[in-house]
Amino acid sequence: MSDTPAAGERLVGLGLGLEIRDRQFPNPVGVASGTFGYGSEYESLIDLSRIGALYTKAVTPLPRPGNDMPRIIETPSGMLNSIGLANVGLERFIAEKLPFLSTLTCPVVVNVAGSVEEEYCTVVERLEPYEAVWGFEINISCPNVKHGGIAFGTDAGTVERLVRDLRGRTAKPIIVKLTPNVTDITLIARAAERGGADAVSCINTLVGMVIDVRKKRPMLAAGTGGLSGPAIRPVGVAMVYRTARAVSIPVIGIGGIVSWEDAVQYLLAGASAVQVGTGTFVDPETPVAVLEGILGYAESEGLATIEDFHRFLP
Amino acid sequence: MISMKHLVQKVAVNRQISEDMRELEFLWPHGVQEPLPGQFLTVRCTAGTDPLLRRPFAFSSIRLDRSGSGAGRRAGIIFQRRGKATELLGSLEPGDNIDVVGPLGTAFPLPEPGRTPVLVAGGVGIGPVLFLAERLAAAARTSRETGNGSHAGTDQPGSSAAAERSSGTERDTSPVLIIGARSAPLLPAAGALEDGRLEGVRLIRCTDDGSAGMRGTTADAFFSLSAEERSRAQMYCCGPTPMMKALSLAAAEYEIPCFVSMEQIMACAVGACMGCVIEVNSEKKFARVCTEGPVFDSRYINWSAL
Repeated sequence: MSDTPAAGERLVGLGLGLEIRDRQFPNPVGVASGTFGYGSEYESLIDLSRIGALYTKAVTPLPRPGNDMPRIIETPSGMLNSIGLANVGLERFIAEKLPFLSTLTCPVVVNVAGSVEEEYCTVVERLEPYEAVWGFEINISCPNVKHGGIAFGTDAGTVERLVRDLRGRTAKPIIVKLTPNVTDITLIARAAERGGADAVSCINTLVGMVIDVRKKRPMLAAGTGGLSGPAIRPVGVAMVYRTARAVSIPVIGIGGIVSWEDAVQYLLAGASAVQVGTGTFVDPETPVAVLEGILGYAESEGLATIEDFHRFLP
Repeated sequence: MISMKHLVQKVAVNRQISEDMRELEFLWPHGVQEPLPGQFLTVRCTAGTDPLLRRPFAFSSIRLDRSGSGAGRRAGIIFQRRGKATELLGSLEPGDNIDVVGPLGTAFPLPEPGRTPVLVAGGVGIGPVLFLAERLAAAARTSRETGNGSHAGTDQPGSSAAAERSSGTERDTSPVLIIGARSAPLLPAAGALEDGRLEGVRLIRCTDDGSAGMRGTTADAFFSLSAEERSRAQMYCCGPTPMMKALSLAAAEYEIPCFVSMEQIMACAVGACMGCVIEVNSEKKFARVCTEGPVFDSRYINWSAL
């Protein structure tokens, strides 16, 4: 944490942090996986000591080059991405990325992805001994290659089994990142809780497509992509609202946060922390500005803890 | 100095230079790394969320600011009116704020000693190439003025020229600048670039339809140089992909160095999101235009994937 906390932080102190298992986020604003690389990319632009949690790019056992181009396209108040989980892979993550991440004071949550359950287990097991790894965020939006490519996170039984398997392999916090591309997100959230998850984060991106009417084909090489940005915020807020009432573990809100007011919506809906993703692309100040705004709001509304935010909506 | 910064600065100039291109200059503060030719910045084009993403533009200049405000320097970008974001950018007036992140990406490398820089700009690719032309022309003037080839830095193009002068075979390594467009209205207007920045640059203008300058493509203009000039050239290109591909092939044929400045839709522009990659001839398969680029050795690019 920074040496001289802002006035809001002094007043509110750790009340707006989030305790998970035996450790905590110092503040409720994290940066979302896939939008922040491995931390060093934004080092010149952002004071990383002010970040409440840094969720790394997804790590898979083997390196993945990612999808063909184009991988991104802007949409109204949003964007589609089909990066394809491009990442350096587990061994290079340890050798090349963990050293820098170890120098940070903010919690480093490693996002874990895979094509089959065994791959998630491989990553978690291999990273468990590293002090620099604060915990894991399990990316269940990945296509399950053994089940026709349907995302892991669309099946409650699969999610419960996967989380239970991972629970046995780590004593660190496990956060399950929920996909909104399901009929009832609360079923998946409950499955994650039953399996032993310490928290859930929602939402990941929504499936979307943009078609080039001149070329008569999708704008993205992969066809569909994940929609993020302010356009999805109302969906995220609704899903957090429902999920927070379905589980007792903390819910971390994600989706279209570009201002502190957006983040407060999530907190009022029942989230105990938030993540800023696409918002960082728009303005690198966003994560810190959101934090300061939340603290200022808490101070002026007389809210001392995260639970206080949860008192207002039924 | 920290390499990249998020700045909100004042617009100094925003003027039309061709039918569809504008040049915008804004104050560049002290304490921030000075951009090099080839590097770029991103601009937030609206305070709202639509358009959402920042837009990348290569630097077209960095010059002393003589407006008397004492800020010292002005940085420029040249952009084309393509959609809502560039429309908004085009409407900024002197004194308005502009929200930028930069400098970002890689710069054009200096020419190898003895090689004549041949700079080729197609359409809106003119920005980074113009910046490089201005820099190389200034360096060539300096080396001619000092005359004896002794320079503080070894990166001046004069050192081999000095050797050649003493042996009586001096060659002019002043830059050649080829600017091409489909037709005359799309080329920078005759007066638009007459501010001294191209002094010492041999300028060749060309249009596909022959309505201004030479009739033909920029590749045709390159081939109009003498065989000796072509073989002693070092190429720098920025423009439509087919143009850069054609020139890269020409460079390969002549076995001359060629550097291109690539463009991609970007989200983060700092190397974090992996959204802006291009296919390259390497074990890695992809390289980020915002970080490993935008300047690349043309041989590195897998042109068949574009």
